[in-house]
Amino acid sequence: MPAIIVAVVVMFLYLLGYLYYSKYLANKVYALDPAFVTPAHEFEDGVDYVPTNKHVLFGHHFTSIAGAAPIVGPAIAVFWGWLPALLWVTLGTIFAAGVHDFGALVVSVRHKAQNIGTLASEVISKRSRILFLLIIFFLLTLVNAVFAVVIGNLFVAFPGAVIPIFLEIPLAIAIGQYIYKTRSPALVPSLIGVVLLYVLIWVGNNYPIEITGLADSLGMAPRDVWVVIMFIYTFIASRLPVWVLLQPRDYINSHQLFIALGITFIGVLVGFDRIVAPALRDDLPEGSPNIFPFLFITIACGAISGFHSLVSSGTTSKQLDKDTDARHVGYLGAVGEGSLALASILAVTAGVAATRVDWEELYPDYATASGGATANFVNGIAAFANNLGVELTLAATFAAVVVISFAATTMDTGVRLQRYIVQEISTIIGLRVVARNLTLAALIAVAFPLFLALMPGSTDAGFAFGTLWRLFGTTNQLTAGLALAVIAVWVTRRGRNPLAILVPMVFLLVMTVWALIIQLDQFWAAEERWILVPLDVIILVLALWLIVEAAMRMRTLVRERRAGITESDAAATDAERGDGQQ
Amino acid sequence: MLIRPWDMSDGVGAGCCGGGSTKGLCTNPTHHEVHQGFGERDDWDPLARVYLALRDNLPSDVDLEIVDPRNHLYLAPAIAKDVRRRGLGWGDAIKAVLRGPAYAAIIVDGLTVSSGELPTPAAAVELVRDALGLRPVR
Repeated sequence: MPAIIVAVVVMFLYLLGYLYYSKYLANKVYALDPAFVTPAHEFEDGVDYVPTNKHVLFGHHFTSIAGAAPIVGPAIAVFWGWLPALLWVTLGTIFAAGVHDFGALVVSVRHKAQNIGTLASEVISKRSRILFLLIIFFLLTLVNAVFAVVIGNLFVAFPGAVIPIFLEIPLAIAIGQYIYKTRSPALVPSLIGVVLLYVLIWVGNNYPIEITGLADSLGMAPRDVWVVIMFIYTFIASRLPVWVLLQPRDYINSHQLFIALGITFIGVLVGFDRIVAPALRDDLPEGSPNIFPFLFITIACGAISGFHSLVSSGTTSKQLDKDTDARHVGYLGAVGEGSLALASILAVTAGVAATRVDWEELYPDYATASGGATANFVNGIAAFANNLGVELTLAATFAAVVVISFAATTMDTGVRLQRYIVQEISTIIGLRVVARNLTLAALIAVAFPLFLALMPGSTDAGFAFGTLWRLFGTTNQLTAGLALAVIAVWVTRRGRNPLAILVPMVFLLVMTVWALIIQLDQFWAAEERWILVPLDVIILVLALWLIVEAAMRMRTLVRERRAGITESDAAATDAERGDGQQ
Repeated sequence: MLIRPWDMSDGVGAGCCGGGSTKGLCTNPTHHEVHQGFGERDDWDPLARVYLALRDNLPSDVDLEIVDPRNHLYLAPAIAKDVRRRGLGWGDAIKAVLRGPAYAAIIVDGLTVSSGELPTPAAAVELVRDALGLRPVR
């Protein structure tokens, strides 16, 4: 099957989803109102609340949500065959992610652009606020741990990436300082930065850096040394003002995103690569995880990601010019993320190997498949770039640099956000010494994921992705479940049919809980992974807590509906209960 | 278009799992209260003051946007289209795109009327009204 045909078919389905399904959501479920005065207008202040053209806002929103996560999940999930992975990405994007991202934006806009955590406490119950913070805490812990391992693995597999990645730091700082001091246009310096980065890729490719000697002297695996280095770096970076390093690196990354997407799809078109992976594997080794439920946990971002609701409700909702723009910004943002996941699937099923036999050597069992996923993605993209005339090893270093750049930026922001969450939770529980101490909070933010990344057994091929990634997937799906619960309750309160939200919500929660239960049994049996047992239990408890809260709220709403209580009556009751505040 | 000075922007670009601004996480409604009645304060966000001055002193049919300088997806085609709409060639359009998203730039119909430093609100109003061929505000 030529990969370009798959790409065209999926993009066409995305188009149909946008044209028809999002229209149905806009008219029948969310009932968008062109006359509604959005918070951007109501509270316009030029700082956070700024009415913004939907095309401008889409650019802001998409570049906020695009990252490395929709790459990793699909690259693992093709272990079960390309068809189930592709179906979940495609159908998830159209019927789950689109509903979720769009809905989170609309509900936030209708509630004075409050974020999803505050909305959960208002729409579901006050307890949901702490539930939200706890879910996000574990989500960030897991994503920071996983991405540190991703980067460590890639530095070991592609030592040519070390020089460009580390020299990108002073390069980005220099660009930032130049633009800041001279106040000159940013586009040309950032493009020069990209060119210099590519020169560094060529240099790194010719002078790869391996740290085997250092690792041996420390008695650690090389990957673990890289993990420690990455956490030291992110601890320092999280304390710097964003404009010193994070912002200028964002400039370079924003160019890299579009260059990588362009190379992927043009490379596929030019090379006319064929998918060599099986559509559905019927020869899985004994002991392999089942598609149900693990496919739906392995691919989170790219099919549905709870974190999008944070962006939708945190910043985007404050800038929405018209209620009706939510369809364009929210739904299409989800489609954009789905396109990244599609690129990943094509890379690891068409680019990475020339024959079925070669492919099966890369995906013989789940542990190997998951441990080698990001390297397979890198090699797949390299093959597409090679179709355009780029030498293969240089192209592999380029692709590794793209993945590491995005993963490192995720870690930068992830640690920064984790520090913030630690302070928020500390404030709630009265732990003032942490709540007021940025350094202590940052250390806690780094310590948890570092411990997870270095725990005994973590160097096993399948640990990071077979285990940590799945835990990350469950917490991300839980966040999505929480957001969908908020949206479902809101839609129900307004007397409209919540089925379009309930179906993906129930599906996600069933898959998540099912996966957590299976994993609990597996972790209990694995002596070296004892820490994962309480972690799994905690996430399982959070999932069940969410289900109970959402079910209780929906039951109340159904009763009110049957009793003929109107939405305004319900809002008054909420106000009396102490909800409904700004 | 007001190009947001990049040292006045939140960190983004970390992808869906980086989460963007912390505003998406804060569950205390009082932390990010709507900034009302602030315009007279000297220490207030300078870009916001320029934006509000323009909003209040331009005709309602003028499209006023604050754009992040990293938003190439929007900026490049928008600036090029505006330049071409003024009857200029593609060379001018490309130059405008390369020059456009400067630090604190104010761009009117593809033409950069100010960059490098945010003007005062009054100066910004004068520059933009002049570029649009409107009479000065008295």
